[in-house]
Amino acid sequence: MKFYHGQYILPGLVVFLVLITFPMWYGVAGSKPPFANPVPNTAGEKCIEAKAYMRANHMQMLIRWRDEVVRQGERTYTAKDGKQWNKSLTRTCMACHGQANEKGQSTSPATYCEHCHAYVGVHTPTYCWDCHIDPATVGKEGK
Amino acid sequence: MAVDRRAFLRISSLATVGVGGGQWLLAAPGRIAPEALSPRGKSLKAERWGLVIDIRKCLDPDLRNRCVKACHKAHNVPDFRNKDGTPDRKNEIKWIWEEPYDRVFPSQYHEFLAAELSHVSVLTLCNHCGNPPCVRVCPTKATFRCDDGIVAMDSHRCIGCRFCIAACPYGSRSFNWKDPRPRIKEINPDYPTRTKGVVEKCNFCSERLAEGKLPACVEAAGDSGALIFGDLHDKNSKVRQLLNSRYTIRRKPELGTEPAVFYVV
Repeated sequence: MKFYHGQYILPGLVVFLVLITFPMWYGVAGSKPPFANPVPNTAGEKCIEAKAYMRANHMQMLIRWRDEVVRQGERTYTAKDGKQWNKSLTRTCMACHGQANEKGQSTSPATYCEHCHAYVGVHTPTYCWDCHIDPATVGKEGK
Repeated sequence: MAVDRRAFLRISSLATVGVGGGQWLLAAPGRIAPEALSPRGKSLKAERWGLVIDIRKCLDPDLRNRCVKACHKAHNVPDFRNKDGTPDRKNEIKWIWEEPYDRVFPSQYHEFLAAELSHVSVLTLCNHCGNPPCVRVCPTKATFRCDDGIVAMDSHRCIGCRFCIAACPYGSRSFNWKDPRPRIKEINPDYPTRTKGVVEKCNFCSERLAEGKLPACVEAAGDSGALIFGDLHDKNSKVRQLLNSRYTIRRKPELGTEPAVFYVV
């Protein structure tokens, strides 16, 4: 079997492979944009579950809480350490992740959520705050 | 390499199992453990919640106003007004409100009705029907009947089609034509607001019942005895005692909606 036009095809293939894998090696070799963890306003106190668990599962937890509270009236969440929590975005999550403290950390849920979501390019459901109340904004919107 | 039909099927079926199993393995850590579910706390529970409204004990406009205000404040119900300060009927949102007797009970009204009744204003709200037409027409199951008889709304699923508004024979549902937030005088941070494009209505204060409190309107009526709330299936409840001792009527019973709100006339 004879390989014709190898002098064009092989360099062409190399160029093609370099271009198609560009995003991968650019990501590995290139510098990552700086990222600072968003800080909840009660720094030091623990979240209802471990940090890694919350990072991986917060979205399922929120959706599950929503359906359980609205549809089944199940309003108490028992964490893995046995502590019980009110399944409430505003009252439980936003107590720490919502209002700003003196240091200006975790200014509002929109910014807290957006902080990571924007970084990893995940859509943030900003419409949450059309109905759910960001405690930091109470008193500033109503007329 | 020549692949015959038999080999192709064998490889593809193995690949399907591999991909399916792999997905299951990947998805497993994402699941929330079933033991994370917990029982309810100190909440008030009933087989079927019901309300009795004593019309003659509701003659005081201040009392009726207190009930409406308490409810609308607790649930962040907006107050839409025209430029001249009159209520904006088109955008109006109401969970509990007052209506003249002849409009509440059109089939009970006649020209010789006792004068004190014919001009009276009656408190009215969602009847939390046993056979709710709004639930039947909702295309997304955004409105549904809970185990305790409360006809509830899930605003997350409401697409604003307003079929339920057309179906409800009591006018108990309101549509948010505009963003309600700017029209809420004082936001109660413990209860969400609604957004433009969804329907809303009375929820029999399910969020308060969960905390062991009576509905806001019943609490506002206090010990006047105007509003009595309780379990219709509990023979010893105040509601049942009242239903046993007094003659009560319901709104448009001929429609077969089985309201859970009763009126003592």
